[in-house]
Amino acid sequence: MAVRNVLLVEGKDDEHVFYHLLEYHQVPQCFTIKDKGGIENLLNTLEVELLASELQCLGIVVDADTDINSRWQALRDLLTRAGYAMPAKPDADGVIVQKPGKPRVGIWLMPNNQTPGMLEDFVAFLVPPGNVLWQQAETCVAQLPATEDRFPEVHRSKARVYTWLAWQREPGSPLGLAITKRYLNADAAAVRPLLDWLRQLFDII
Amino acid sequence: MSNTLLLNSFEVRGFRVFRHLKIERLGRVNLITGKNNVGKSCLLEALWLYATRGSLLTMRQLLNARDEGVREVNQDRHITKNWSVRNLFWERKPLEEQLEPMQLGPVDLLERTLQIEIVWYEEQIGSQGQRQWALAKGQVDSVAALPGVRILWGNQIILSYPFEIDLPELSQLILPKRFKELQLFHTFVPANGLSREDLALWWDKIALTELEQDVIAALRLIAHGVERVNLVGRSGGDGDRIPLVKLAGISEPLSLRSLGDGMNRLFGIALALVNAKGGMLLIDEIDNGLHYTVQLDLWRMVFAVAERLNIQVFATTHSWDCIRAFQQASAQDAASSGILIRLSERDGDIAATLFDERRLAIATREQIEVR
Repeated sequence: MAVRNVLLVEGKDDEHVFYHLLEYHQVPQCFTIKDKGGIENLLNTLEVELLASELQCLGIVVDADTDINSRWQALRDLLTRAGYAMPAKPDADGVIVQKPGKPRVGIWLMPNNQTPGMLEDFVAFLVPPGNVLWQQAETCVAQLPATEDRFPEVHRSKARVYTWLAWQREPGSPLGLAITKRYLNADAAAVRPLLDWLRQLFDII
Repeated sequence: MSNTLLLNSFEVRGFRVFRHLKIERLGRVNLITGKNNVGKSCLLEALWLYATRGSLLTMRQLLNARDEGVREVNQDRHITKNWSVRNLFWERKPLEEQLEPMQLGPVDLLERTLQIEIVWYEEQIGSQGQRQWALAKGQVDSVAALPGVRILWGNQIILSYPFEIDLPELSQLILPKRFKELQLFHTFVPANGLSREDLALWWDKIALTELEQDVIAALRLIAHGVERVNLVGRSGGDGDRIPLVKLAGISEPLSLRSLGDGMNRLFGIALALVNAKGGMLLIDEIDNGLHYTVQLDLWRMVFAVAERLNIQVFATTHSWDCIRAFQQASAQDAASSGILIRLSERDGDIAATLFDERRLAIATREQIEVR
């Protein structure tokens, strides 16, 4: 059975965050979320994903990581080669491109299309303001000695989010579940542009 | 690749469902897929017509195979919708509106492009007082004029034919010698299998040659014990010859059909394959009657034999199993290139999406729908 609407994500955590966000906001899920098992595989197979039969809309959610410009450029090159007219820079509200005879394509660079970062940086926007444990988690992670087995610098926000999750009423909830359990605030301002982008991309009323 | 391909690309204009179909690249073995009604069989037909260089007999077969050769009740030849040839043209317009020629050939290679156009003839009295049809000049008087076809190879006219006898009634036709020289060698396996006559004809062409071994190898894909195969007539029978096989450990020969539909299908495909040596093999719905466990072995054989005998293969399928088997065999066979051609409708036109071995491997691994 051909799938008309697909959202490509880098991994399981992205998939679960989307499921729980959509559930919380009661957005009808008219698309399939596909875990591509990492950014490399997502980029390497994108050309073929675009050729899936009956495909109408393809959303792509990837981490901006440390260099948002090079990540954007990689996607821009792939889609230009596939025949799309791509903007030079990503829009803060996410990118949607159309081309007659081809599926509509949307791109969202985590966390917000503007700054470097990843899914966990987006999740950080959902932490209730003034949360004491969140402050404490930052201090705690900051004070860690730079031992060999410590996380690399790029994963600092990831370490902070998981540290914080470890201290919740039910310690160790995965990211998605933390939304449903209301540890994270799915009504945070950062959520709106992401949902608007999804609605527009997949024609959700 | 050791051998060159007959066709590296293929472009169709104005034939059947295709207004303009462009296939930029072809492999040695090509599998055509897509939903019903997007023209999978039409593409095979276009290749067949191209191989015979627009032979009128092929046109007649194409029309008859779809029951389009039947004359409509009104037999008045001046009513041009009665001419069955219009069914081969895009949109099936009446002949006087059929202004665009049909074109089949490699992309941007006019000298190897076949062009079929509708022309009009007028009756003239020749110098010896005989009546003859000559190409109408200027305004066509649709009552007095007779339609016909003109076939061009590159920019050379290779045949002009006024429809004094309409295609469906055409039983035989002496084709000009150079016309025959231009034709590509080819075999065609319809979805419902080959006729007994074709099986017998093709068997006789390879019997007692080394190609017989390829046919036996094919039958062994299903029945490992097959030792020999032959076609035998029955005394007092209707003249048809029946394929019989000798199985290891069984003294009496058995009829091939008694071993199941799959055996019969494999026999036909294998005969068509080895008989297409140096030419083109066309198979409609290759997986018909074949269990998917046999399909991988069948594709392996097709890839290997096609490379060895320099055959270019075109087959159609609906089945994901068949595509997966095609992908595996194609990836394993370093010598032959396999290409999956998906036909789909976009904005009213049929377009082709190509999956080479690399793309097909990704699609299979990532479970991307290619049908």
